[in-house]
Amino acid sequence: MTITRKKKFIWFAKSASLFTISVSAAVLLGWLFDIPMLKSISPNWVSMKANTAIGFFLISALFCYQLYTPDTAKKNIILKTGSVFTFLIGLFTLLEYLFQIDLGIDQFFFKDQIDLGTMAPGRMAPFTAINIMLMASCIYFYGRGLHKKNHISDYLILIVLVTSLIPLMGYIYGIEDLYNHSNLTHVAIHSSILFVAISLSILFSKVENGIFALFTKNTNISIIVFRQLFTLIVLILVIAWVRMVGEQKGYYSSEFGVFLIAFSSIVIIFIMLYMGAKSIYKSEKRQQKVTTEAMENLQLFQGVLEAAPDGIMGINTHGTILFVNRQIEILFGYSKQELVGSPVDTLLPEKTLWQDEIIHHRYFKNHKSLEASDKPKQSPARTREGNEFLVEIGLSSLETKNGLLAICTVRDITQKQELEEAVRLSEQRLSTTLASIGEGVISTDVHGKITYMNPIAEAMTGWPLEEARYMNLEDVYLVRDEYSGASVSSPLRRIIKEGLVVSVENHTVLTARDKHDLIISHNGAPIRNLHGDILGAVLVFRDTSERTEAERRLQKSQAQFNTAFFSNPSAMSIARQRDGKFIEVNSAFIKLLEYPRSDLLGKNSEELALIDPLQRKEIWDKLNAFESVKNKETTLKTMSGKLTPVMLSAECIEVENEFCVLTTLIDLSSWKEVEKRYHAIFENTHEGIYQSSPEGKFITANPSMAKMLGYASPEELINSITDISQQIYADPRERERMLTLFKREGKAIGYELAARKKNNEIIWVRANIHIVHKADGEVEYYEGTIEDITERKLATEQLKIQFAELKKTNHELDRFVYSASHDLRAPLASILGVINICELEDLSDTSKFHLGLIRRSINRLDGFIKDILNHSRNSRTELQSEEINFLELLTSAQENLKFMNGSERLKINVSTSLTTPFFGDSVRCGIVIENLLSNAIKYQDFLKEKNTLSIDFITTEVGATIIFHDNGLGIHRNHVPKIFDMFYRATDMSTGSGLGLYIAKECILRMNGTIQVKSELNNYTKFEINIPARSS
Amino acid sequence: MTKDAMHNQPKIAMVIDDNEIDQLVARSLITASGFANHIISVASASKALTYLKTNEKQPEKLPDLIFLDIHMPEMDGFEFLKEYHLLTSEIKAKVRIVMLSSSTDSADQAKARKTGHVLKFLSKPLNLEELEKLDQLLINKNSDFVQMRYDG
Repeated sequence: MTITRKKKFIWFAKSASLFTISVSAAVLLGWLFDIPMLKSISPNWVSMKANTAIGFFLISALFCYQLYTPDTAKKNIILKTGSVFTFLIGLFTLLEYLFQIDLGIDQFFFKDQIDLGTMAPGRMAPFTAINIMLMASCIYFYGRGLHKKNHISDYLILIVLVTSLIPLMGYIYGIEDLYNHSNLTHVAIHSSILFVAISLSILFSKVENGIFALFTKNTNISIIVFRQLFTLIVLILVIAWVRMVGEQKGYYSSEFGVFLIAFSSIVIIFIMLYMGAKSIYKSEKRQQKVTTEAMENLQLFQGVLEAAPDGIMGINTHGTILFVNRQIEILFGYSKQELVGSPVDTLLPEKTLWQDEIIHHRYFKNHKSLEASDKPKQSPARTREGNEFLVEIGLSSLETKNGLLAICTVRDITQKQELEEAVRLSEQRLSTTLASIGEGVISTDVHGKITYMNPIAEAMTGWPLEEARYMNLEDVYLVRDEYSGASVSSPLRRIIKEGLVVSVENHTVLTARDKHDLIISHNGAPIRNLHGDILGAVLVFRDTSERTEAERRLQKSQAQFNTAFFSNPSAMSIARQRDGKFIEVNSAFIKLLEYPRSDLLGKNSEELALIDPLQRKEIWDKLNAFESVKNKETTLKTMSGKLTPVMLSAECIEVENEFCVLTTLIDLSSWKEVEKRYHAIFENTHEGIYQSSPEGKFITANPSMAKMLGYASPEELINSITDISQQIYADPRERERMLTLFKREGKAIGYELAARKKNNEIIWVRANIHIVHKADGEVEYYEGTIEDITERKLATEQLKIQFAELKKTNHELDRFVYSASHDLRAPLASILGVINICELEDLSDTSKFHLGLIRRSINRLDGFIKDILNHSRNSRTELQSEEINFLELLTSAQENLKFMNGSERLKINVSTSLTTPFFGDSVRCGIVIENLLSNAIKYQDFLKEKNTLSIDFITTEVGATIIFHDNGLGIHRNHVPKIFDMFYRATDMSTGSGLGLYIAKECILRMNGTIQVKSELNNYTKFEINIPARSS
Repeated sequence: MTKDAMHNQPKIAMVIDDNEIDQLVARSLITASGFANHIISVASASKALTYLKTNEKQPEKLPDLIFLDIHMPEMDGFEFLKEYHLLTSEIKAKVRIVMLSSSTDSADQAKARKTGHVLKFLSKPLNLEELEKLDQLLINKNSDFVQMRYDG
């Protein structure tokens, strides 16, 4: 609404000024093409002068320009210049009138003749000139920007508006005097209309701060006043016109006319003012009502705010408190004045998630109000006295004029927490009590499902709580009558259904999970809530078997002993000390001795002949003296007569007031087996195995060790060596070096050293040695194996010498090949050079032919030498790895072969797919390509019209593929298998050495590649080469 | 420098080769092709070096192109290149070197290329076509070289 109304005025201003532009332009056109209609509308009226039209045009155009464009310095200059120019038009015209002179400006643009109501040709009315000057001044103010500061421009325009109404009304009412002053030029009708139009345009365009802003503003009064004023003006004009017409027609006299005007004016003005005042009054009243309501709402809100049981505060986006309620003051001990304007951290010191993330980020930035789903957040809070307490915070957002606002409710939850803590404590206390009382407690829900069992109940029923929970009580708590054996219905139903407290003193038997019976008594009672509703039952039961607590404890330890005894993997027995008879044996014992249990019990080891009598005596002597026997190795005879090695430990214990012997046996038969096996290895291995002391003596050694060092037996070795470093090590310092290595690495693996044999002969051995430490970390002894590597060592030395010699030979050969290549090729090149210069001379055809023959022979010899050299290089030089540019290799091959017969005739098509860089031996690849190309040139089918060779180079991750496919002579099927042989030539036409393909193949093989050939005689030959990428 | 300008200057070629026959072949072909207006024949690399050093201050006497053999007694082609590397930039600015050898060893080619002073590696014997190509290459290289010097 606000915008639309102002827009309407702006629209009006714009259209009025555009109207002025178009009318003035039309008049100018009228002058240009001499159209009287446009100049003066009616022949009875005076024309609008050209200068007037220019003035209008300039003013309206400048004003339009001012309306449509933003303010700039350039714009201001244009406005000022234009207005000054326009002003001068008016001023000069006025001067002409004042001083009765002709300055020549009147007909400056267009010729005019003395016309109706015109004083001088082309001169505008003085009234018009003044108004143009006024308006030009106004535009000038606009150019200076003064229109924004004061209303002077508006008043100037107002003068124009009011004065131009005079001639306009003159035309409307036909009163000539109003637009015509004596013999001065008349004011044209369209001039007066345009004055009204442009001045209204200018006045209404200033919607915000002009003098007409009173009408344009969006207040009720503005709307009413504008409407009433507009209606009033129209009505007065109409009445005046009616009066005039009536008078002219003679309906009434002029006195009556005056009365008519006066009367109707009074009536109209009264009505208009009355209506206006009424509207204003109404709108004022409405305003008042809204204000009152708002005030009431505010009071209501404040009342709610203050009365709320929770603390409420408003926080802005900066975290500043804007308002708080009474409850906040009470909670935190601050006054309102203190809190408003201070940061929220004062109250909620911890920068918790909700403050940083929610308020500043998600909550405000996304303009998202917190919904019910957002749980209240807990946050620590601090009172003025510095007491910390816990609060729960709820948030919602509010969009206000001053930006977003977080409404924050704060609730003290300290009490709630304390309550929760109290409940938790009492629960804990209860469960501790239940866990520690000596009676079984089971509670169920209303359906009889178990919800809780204390440890005693678990032990008595044999059901752990985890398993029994949610099971039916009847399935866990199996009770029957002690005497009748009839199952007693569980007391549960009665307790839950009837709400009775049940008590059974005796004669009830509880069958535990392991079918073990207990005589019990039990009590049961319903669990009720505050309202007395039954929620479940609790059952308390007690083992009433007449056992003392001490007995029970004994039983328990008995049970523990039983478990340890019977399920022990070691064979165990208990025998009476006085006669040695077994009173209990475990299953491992039975298994070890193979006797059935019944055969063992009641007998002693002597009766069963389990053990050698002497050893038995030795053991029993100790036991009878109440000494224990520990880790005694002995042999027992089993029932089947097998002798079993065992480790025996025995000690005296007291069982039921009687001294007994507890014996533990560890079966050593498998250990013995292992030991035997290792001993065999120790004795028979070819490696020398030994243990030596840090002092340098052998502790043990195997026969191989002794033999290796030239001693007859390990004993001889051990006894005759007193200092290993002096007697065994060829270099006595070697042992020191090795011990240093030990200190660093803890062992020596593959250590090669020279050792001295008994006969002082030196052998090379390879030793693996490690340290065995004592408990205190000191070296206990060294343990090692040695291997005689004398022969291998010698062989390696030999190999090294041979390799060096071979390398030297190879190098010499290299040098030889290199210089041979030069020495062989240089004379050939000289001969070819001489042929080249001979051919420069004027020779006979025969001589030319002969020279050609020489050249061919030399080329052939040269080619052969090149092949031989290539071959020699290929077999000797190492593979190189560099990125290969196949096309470059091809180009250089073509270059080398361009003098070959028919090389220019062969059409070569190359296609490439070089997706991956290929690394390989560029020299060898070059040799291969050159050889294949040379073959393709050599073996063209000259009978064919066109000889072509297509070459593909393909590189992939896997490797490179080179394909040579020609349509040459082809190879006969019989020759195909042999073409790669040395010195093989498939055709008698060949001029080659028979080495080309052989060398190519050798090169490819060196690069781990393959070459395949497909050919058909007189048709084609296709070579495909694959070279794998080198895995570096 | 345009092609014409190049042709207007008297072009000097130097052939360094101990082999008289090869000298003769090179000279005859250079003369016949009109590749150079003047040919300096030197039988050893050391003599060639002496010549270059002597005429250091007279660029008009320096050869535009040297045909250099590899296998020569006393100082071979590679040793010559090493010494050449130490010569003044005035000499190097004018003189281009082409290897002309009977060697087909790619190791030799690589070695020559590595020095950075060798324009091209030719296999003996020289022939007219090669000279033609060389002429073309020299023009291009010279303009490249001029360009390079301006580029810094």
